[in-house]
Amino acid sequence: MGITRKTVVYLAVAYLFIGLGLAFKEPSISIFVIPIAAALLYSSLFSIDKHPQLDVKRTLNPPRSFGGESINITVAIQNTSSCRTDQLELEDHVPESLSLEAGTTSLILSLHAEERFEYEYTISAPRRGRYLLGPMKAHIVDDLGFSEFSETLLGQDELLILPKVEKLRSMELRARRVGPWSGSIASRNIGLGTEFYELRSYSPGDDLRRINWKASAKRGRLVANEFETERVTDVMLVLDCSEGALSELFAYDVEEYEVSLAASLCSQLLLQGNRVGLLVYSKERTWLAPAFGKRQLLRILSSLALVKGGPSIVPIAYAVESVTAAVLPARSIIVFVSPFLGDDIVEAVWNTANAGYNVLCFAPTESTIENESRYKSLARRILATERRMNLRQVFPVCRFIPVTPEKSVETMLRRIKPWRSF
Amino acid sequence: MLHWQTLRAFSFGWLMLTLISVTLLFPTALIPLALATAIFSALTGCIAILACRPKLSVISLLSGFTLFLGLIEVEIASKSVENNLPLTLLEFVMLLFAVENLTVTSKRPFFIMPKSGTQVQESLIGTFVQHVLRRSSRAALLFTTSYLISIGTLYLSTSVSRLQLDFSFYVIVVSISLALLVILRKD
Repeated sequence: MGITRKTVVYLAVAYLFIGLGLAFKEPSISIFVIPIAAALLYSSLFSIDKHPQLDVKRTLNPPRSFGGESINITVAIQNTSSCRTDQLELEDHVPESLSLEAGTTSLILSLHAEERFEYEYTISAPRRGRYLLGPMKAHIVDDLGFSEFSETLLGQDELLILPKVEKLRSMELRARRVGPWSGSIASRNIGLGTEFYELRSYSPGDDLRRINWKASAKRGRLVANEFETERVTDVMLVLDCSEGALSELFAYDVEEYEVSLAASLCSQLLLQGNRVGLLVYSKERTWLAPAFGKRQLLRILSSLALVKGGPSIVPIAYAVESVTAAVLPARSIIVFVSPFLGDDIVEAVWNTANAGYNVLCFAPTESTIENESRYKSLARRILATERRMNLRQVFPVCRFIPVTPEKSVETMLRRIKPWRSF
Repeated sequence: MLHWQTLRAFSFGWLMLTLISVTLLFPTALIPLALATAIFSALTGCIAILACRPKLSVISLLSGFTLFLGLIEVEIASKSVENNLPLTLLEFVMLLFAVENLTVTSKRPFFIMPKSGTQVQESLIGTFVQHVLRRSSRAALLFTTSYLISIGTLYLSTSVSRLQLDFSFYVIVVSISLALLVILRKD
């Protein structure tokens, strides 16, 4: 507990009047001190409770979001002491990047003994990222604001806004290398599966359900169906958010679009049972070794939520090579999501293709901007030409899928069927 | 709603008190000027409390301070401190009250005037209005009492003896020192 600046000013004024009274030998001037003295005495007699005992809980609903929805925050405060807590000023810190949709983060309360108060505020749909809400600070001042007491009541809570995930149903992956686990990718091996492979003569002991009755009738002997086993494969997704993400070649937010696309691809690939890894190449490089399941999806989405575009010091070719050589088996699939700007990306694609990986490239298409200055237009055309040259160089070793926010990725995948090329 | 009505009544009362006291106590020559300043100060103070506008509180405080300075100037010109002392003291007390108003209104003005698009829970607004009312009424009561004590001390000292005034002066100094000691006490 301490005194406020107001107290100091009041005391200074009081002693000024006393000083003036003494200097001019006019004791009546000191009459002005009485209101100040009365206020100070009142303040000291009804001083604040030094240590308010409060139980505070903050609940985030939902604690994790895929964006596009408001976050509701409920704060419950209970006075656990047996005395009243008066003039309690509470302030919950909300980052400036978040905007308040409803409610308030600061309030003034008076709580009776054991009284519980609950209030809520809503944050309007935040952008992808990790936010820290809090700490919540309590500030208590007495009635006249002469003494104050501050305390942190509640720490920080993490709010994670994951990138948006688009459902992709039409991804039919073909891989040269499949793992031993059953999945949804045709493996070109005979075994248990759903995809028809060939016909063969019936052998005693075969399942009767495998007999192809039509073919048996035609040939005059029992013929059985052979199926292609379906397995899983390993995929490493490389997200390039370096210089390209900062480029003005694109009229839309290419960084957000790339992150969202990467999230959708990873989600679908994991849903199909594949082992999926992630390498983010941006200002801060992060990577996740390929793994299965929902936990891996959550890890990937959490990593993608924190992606911030920016130039990297290490060349992308080196970054990709060092990670893939360590964690990705040969002949697996590497998916590049990149704007294909800069020379390094061409080298990275060529190196991975030469190392025996199947390479698939998703490249956001540039957009035309009208009413632009002559110089900007010229710069844009130079960048676009450079990009086209890069794409032309990688065409022989990869499958290329142009994507744009105007069309859904699912539509593009249906039209091109890139996976079947492997 | 009841709290708002009480707050309005309280503000109206304060306004009336200001006008009556200024009219009764101010020197005749300066009444129009003082009246205008007092009306302006009291009005802005009332609106500041009702609308929770700190800027209006500041304006009220400044106009009150101007009036207070004017009164001191009148006293200096008349070369007598005691002529207009009750009025000067009243203005000083009102100045202190204006400071309290400013403190109250500057506390989270968005409770009453929410930021664009945001809506605040009714219960929170109710709590804040209660807070404004409680603080304003306590401050008003305290300053009224202290004004009456001051006037009492002043008349008592002039009518009884010089010694008593010295004694009251001593009481003031001791009380303020005591208050300071109590406030600065360690936990």
